[in-house]
Amino acid sequence: MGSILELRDVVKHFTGFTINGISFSLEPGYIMGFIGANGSGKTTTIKLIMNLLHLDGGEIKVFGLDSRKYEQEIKQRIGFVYDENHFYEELTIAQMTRVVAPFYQNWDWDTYNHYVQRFALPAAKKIKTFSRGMKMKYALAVALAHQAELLIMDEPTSGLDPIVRTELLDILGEVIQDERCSVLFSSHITSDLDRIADYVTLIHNGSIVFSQSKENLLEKYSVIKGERSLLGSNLQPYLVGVRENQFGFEGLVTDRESVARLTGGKAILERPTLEEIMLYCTRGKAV
Amino acid sequence: MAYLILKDLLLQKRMLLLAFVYVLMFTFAFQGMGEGQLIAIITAVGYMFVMMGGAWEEKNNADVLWSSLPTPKWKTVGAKYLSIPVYVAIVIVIYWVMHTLFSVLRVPVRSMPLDLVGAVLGMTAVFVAASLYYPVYFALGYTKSRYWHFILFFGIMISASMLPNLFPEKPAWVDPLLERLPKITGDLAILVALGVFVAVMVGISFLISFRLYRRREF
Repeated sequence: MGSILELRDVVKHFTGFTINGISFSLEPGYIMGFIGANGSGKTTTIKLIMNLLHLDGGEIKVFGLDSRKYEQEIKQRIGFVYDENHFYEELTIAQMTRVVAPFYQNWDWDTYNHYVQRFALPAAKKIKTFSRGMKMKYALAVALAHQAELLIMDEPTSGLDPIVRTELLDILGEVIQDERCSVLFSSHITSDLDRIADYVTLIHNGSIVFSQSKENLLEKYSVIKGERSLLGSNLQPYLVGVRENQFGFEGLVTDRESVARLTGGKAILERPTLEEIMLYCTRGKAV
Repeated sequence: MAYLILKDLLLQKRMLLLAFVYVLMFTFAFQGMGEGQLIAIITAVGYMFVMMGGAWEEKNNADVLWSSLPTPKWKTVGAKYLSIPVYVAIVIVIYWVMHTLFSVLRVPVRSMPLDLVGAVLGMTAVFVAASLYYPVYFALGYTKSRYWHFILFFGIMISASMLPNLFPEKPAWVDPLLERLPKITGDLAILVALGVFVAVMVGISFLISFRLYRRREF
């Protein structure tokens, strides 16, 4: 089976910002973390996928179909959770669902009711009385109730407390277990993606820095800590980013074995987190 | 599309109560208009429903929702136009209730009884106003289109009230113009002619709104 989501040379111009010919793809049954600093282009990319913005160049295919030509067919199979609530705050979730459900051919009331009960969402309360976490859970219940094959989530965990975040991540883990559903999960909270992502795509200033499996990334890069004098050795070709402090330096390097040989055991090499990889890859050697 | 209209009605629940207050206010304000009172009230309150419908969408940033759901844009746009007769029907019922209350309670206000021609002309006026407003609304959204709304709303109201002063006597060009037009006689023929006029205007407005909405980004 081909990619469930494929972006090829996607371009979008704004005054002062450009999505610069980005390409990446997501295979069925995986969670892709889409990371980057605020303003790096995550939400713009998601809006382009959802056809909320018009493309200036390139193409986007979802389920192998052109996202513009087959918009309605594709949206039948997509679930979305955005960073802000877009449901009518003056309605109760019972009213809102009554309005939204008929648009989906595969809407399953049993699944919907299951999640509403599981999330303890009060059907008769207006959405405006909900906490941020409850609004996000409602959006997730709607997204899961129509058997979506691709979940598009734009910063779903931002502003949520750790308990709700963990709950959300556990559900996503369950959802992809049957390998039928894929998730594109945009976030700048990389610790969430450390837990659940299979693939990670980093966007910076509208360009893709890398898009590969999380395991490859964690194998490829290492955090290095040592005395400043080591920076004068032949370390430079391996350094992705470096930060100096009064005790020495800390940085990100590639090729752990060569660096270990080069430093002769004088530097500490550790497995990085996604946050460290993001930080050094986007800020470079001038950190 | 019925569910989009249902959504509009659910959102307008609070406006229902306000509509009673507006009908009460406008009955006093327009009591000197004679037979035009009913038309003016239906137009003013009906158009307020149209406006409020747009305001709720903007407040909830609902364009993002509808553009993310599997809903063709022509349905999102079309539902707004189809909500108009529903709004007008609600205003007519409210007007009838208020008129009955005024009569029963002997409220000292001149309230014209409900009649078919007044109701049809009122609905026509709301359709015309909404047809002028919606293309700007769908192109720019509620907030950015409100200046156009103010010009339209007060333009219609001020023009309507100034007409008798501007033309105290029938202008000389009216009769020759009417002679050139096809003769329309009978209430049914007038209703059909109005229906055709409204249908053409709404149709053109819908097509413009749809084209502009399709080009919008969220």
